[in-house]
Amino acid sequence: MPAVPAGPRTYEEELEFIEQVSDVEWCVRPGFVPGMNVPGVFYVNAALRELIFEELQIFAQRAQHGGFLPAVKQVANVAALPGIVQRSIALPDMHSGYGFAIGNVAAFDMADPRAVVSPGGVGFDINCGVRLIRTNLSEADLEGRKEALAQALFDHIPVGVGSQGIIPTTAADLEAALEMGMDWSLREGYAWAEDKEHCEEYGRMLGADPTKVSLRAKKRGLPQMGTLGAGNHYAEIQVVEHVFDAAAARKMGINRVGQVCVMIHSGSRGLGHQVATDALTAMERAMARDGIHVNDRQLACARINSQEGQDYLAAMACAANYAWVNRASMTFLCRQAFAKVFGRSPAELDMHLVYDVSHNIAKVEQHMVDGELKQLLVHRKGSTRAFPPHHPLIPVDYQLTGQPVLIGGTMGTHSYVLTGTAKGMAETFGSTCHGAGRARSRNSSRRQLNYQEVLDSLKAKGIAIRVASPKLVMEEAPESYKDVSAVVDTCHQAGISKKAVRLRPVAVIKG
Amino acid sequence: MRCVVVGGGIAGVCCAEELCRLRPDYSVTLVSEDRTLKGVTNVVQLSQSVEEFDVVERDLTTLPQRNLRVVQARAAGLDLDARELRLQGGGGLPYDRLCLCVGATPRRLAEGPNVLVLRDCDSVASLAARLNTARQVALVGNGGIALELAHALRGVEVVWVVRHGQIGDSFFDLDAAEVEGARDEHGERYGHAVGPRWAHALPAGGPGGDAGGRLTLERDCEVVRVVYLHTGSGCAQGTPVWPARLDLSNGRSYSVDLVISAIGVDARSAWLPLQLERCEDDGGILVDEELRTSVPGVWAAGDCCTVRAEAQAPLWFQMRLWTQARQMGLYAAQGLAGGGGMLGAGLTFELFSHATRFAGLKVVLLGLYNGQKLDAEPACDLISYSRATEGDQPTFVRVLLLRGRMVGAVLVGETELEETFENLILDRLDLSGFGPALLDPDVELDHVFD
Amino acid sequence: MVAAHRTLLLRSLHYDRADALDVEQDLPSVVAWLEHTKVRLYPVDARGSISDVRSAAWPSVFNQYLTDLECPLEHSDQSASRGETLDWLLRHAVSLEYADSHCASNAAGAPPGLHGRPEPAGAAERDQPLSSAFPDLDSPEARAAIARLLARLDLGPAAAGMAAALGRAAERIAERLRASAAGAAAGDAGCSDGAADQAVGFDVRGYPLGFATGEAALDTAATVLRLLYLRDLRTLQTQIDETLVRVQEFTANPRTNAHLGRVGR
Repeated sequence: MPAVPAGPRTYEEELEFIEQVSDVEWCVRPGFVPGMNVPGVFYVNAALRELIFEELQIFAQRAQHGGFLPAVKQVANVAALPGIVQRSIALPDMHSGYGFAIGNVAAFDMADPRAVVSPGGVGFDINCGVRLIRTNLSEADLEGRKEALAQALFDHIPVGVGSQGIIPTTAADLEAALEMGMDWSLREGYAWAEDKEHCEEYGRMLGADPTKVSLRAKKRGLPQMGTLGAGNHYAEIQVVEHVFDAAAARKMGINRVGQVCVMIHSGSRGLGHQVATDALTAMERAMARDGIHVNDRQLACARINSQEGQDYLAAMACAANYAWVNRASMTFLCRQAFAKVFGRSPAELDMHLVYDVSHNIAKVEQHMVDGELKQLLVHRKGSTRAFPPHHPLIPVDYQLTGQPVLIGGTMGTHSYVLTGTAKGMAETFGSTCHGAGRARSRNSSRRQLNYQEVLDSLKAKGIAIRVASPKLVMEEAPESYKDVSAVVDTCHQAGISKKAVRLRPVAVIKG
Repeated sequence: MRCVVVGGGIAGVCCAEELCRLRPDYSVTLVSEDRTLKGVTNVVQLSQSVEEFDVVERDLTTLPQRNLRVVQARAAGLDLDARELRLQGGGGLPYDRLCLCVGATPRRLAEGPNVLVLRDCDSVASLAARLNTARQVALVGNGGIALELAHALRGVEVVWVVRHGQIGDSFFDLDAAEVEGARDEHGERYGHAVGPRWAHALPAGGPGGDAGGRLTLERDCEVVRVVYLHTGSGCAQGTPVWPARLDLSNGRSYSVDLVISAIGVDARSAWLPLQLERCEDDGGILVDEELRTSVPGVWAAGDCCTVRAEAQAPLWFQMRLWTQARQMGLYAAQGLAGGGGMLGAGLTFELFSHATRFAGLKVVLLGLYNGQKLDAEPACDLISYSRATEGDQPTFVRVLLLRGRMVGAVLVGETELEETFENLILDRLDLSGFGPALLDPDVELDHVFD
Repeated sequence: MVAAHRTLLLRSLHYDRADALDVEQDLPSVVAWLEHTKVRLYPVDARGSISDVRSAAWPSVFNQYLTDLECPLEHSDQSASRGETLDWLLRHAVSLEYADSHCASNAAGAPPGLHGRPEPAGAAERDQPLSSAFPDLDSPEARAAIARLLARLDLGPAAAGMAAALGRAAERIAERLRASAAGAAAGDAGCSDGAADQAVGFDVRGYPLGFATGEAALDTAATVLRLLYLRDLRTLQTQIDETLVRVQEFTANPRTNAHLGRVGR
């Protein structure tokens, strides 16, 4: 085993710590970064591999401070956190994030007093997730109505501060939503009982405590309740394009090619952000007290049983609940919009919720580790839970097929529905990818960035980064399309999830 | 509860309508001098604090709220003790709570046939008509109107004269970005983020021809005088004839067809009793962070008010723009309705934000995008990064960091980063570890902070 | 919200002036009324002091009353906590009412077969529960529609009551659905037409078990057990869903703009 060198390593030296285990599985050995308690592992196929290694190469050759750590380094830094169990796992859509890479799964032993919880392992947009609503319409039914439908969805979605949203919200409503999650929507009548049945955690995390959510977070959250959000949040009208697993698709009610569905991708946004930053600040202060050392400042964390750790989990649960309320509100509005355009009630249109998944969350779960049943705190950031058939926590309807996993491609590209497998349960704590793979620049060769710092007499320093090629915009660009498919295919090949259905977008609504 | 809102502009209308919505049991009266009211439609939320919307004109009689009464009249006086608004021509309106949204009048640079002062939609229409035949216009001022106009003028040469009374008021700032070809006729680099390179994207039109639409920035100077030139037939054939000449304090002069004066406004507060404290500079009615005036039961919103400096959040500043008028109107309504509770206006007044358009591109300004209010900070604590991308959809991004924390941002084009940056600013995360790689276009910033 | 809840409680107890209650002023009279009509903690002749609403000693009498009722809240004279205490008392009264009459009220609202309501035996009795749920079952329009339905399903005209006819129609539809589902399943499995005739047969071995015992027969038995368990689970889940829907009828926010789709189906 190569010794850890004193100075910065060359790319070749870094590579000595990474070895291929199978076609799609790679292992990162302890020593890649200091203090690794367990190895790292990442799943990529040949197509995705280049991105990972190229990033590492640029990092090794840059020899510069600042910037973003390559994903594979972040995975290794996570493996150095106290209390981590088995391995630090990265799914095929892994890319650099804050502290943890996106697509990083890490589980911590609740019985180990040293074990930690880290907001970076959940993400800022807590409970950013996806839900899929089916209809009994076909693509042909959308002919000539797409505009009207898009407009109806736009009309119904509350926009603008102070506008008359269909869903009236007050500070008291927010408080209730934080505590009750989807149960609030159910109580108010915005959600169907079956929606709760077909939602991860049944739409409510019971450990939520609104008193642990700061006033500032609530201020950011109130105006955003029931709104879609910008950036990578969207509502998309899709049609079933291909069915891989007929039995699973039939159980989900989406086994007809051309069948129309609605996919909603949204999270907790400003409220989640504030909860995360509040926790990061509090935990940074506590780390010295509790003797926690990390390789990267962004990996601020706290002992799970400490006040900071418990406070964060309670606030995180509130943010998760808030996101479910948002998605439930969007579901209600989508149902109304469809009903308006097609002149039939949502029930007549069979607009049932197929499933709702989170891909930025931490959960307490039971897993077998080395033949022993343990209770673990599983962090999933940019990664989706994928439980196998017969798992007690998944809905009755999916007991035989396994939990549906919704993979929203970046807006405008294909989306997928997968199912969880027993192999995934064993290898990745029942986790799989979440979708939005990275944008791949057309100019894939390494680029030299010139930085010029110019001091300005009036206080501002200016730096311009000149680039030869533009930031890639997600159209039906072949590369971006392959990206999501490559990610899903890799997971399928690794056996940690199974492809069930592929969906194609026909209209997109952005908040 | 009787509420009276004075003023039919954006602030007044938004306030009245919101109040009616919040308290259907109140009786609300809107007093407007003009028959047409400003309204807002097509609100699009770009991020939590950034909205785009269209301003429209509506008829007095078209407001739908049942508890709203609209009175067309001019306010003549205010009796604070008796709690009555006196109207011109006699008559008065008693009130329990009052909101003043009477707006402001533009300051006049000079008088003359070629000096246009922008006030409302009428003057804009008149401007549009005159632009058809204008070759070169001068835009004087750095207020909100000037900002909007600088984006809207096209097909004509523009000289923009900016006096740096307060640093960073100008959108065209002092960033030393290397923009290709961005040099003025003296060979000096343009300091602005959005410069003639963008202006070349403007549709060629107007008498300026191919070179039409160039924007020349004259900063740190004032207009000394406007000279009206004779346009008589005595001029030699072939020499261009200009109706006016602008002489600047830096010694340069420009010949123009039209001078647009946008040098700021004075609040229409002279008619109000002195108990309502005013700002010395612009006569604005002083209000606190709840938009309350110095007199209980009286609020003020929009152009006519000035938010006390100590009541302003660090990353917010007042700019007399339609967006702020709307936000203030809505927030004042909450106050008149009995308070919005602990959560109040959320973070609307915590972070300055404005969305506008320039040459067909979306422009979003967040926070202290130009270092506003940061005069006292040491230069070494401030750092700014920017990046431009070309292609079919050009974009530009510039951020300002104070001691590692993002305090301002400018986004031009479809960057899809509005919400990300808004979150970063509000999160107050320490970003110093990232350095300029923060803006590396290969890094998907919205994912990193997702 | 709190006030609305209190009004709801008062109305459910049939209190006259439920809407116009002022906690400060009316508390003594409400409490007295509750004691007399609902709570009845003390024997009749010992209710004098709690009924003496104008007495200056009433507050301490009330505190004693709460102690005797084992009220878990702190008794103080703050008006806010008075409101909470009143709410607790109201809920207590409601629970007492429920305890007395729950059999009757549950039976009134439950579908046949639940909560001890008798299963309908003959056709005449069978009509009764349905008629109360669908009062216009015997109207000419309903009869005509049911006749069309029966004709469509190749069933004879309705001889016994409308409800019985509907029952037969439902059975016929279920039969046909089963047949087509079996056909679809057979088609998926690539079976021949002969196999499709097995109306409800399916291959148990095709279903995932999740573990292996090592013996094929045991595995099959275990799979069957799994499937039976799932059926029970589904029934339970459906009942839960139905209960939630019924509760939604009461709790749904009336301000929701639901004209495009009923809220709380």
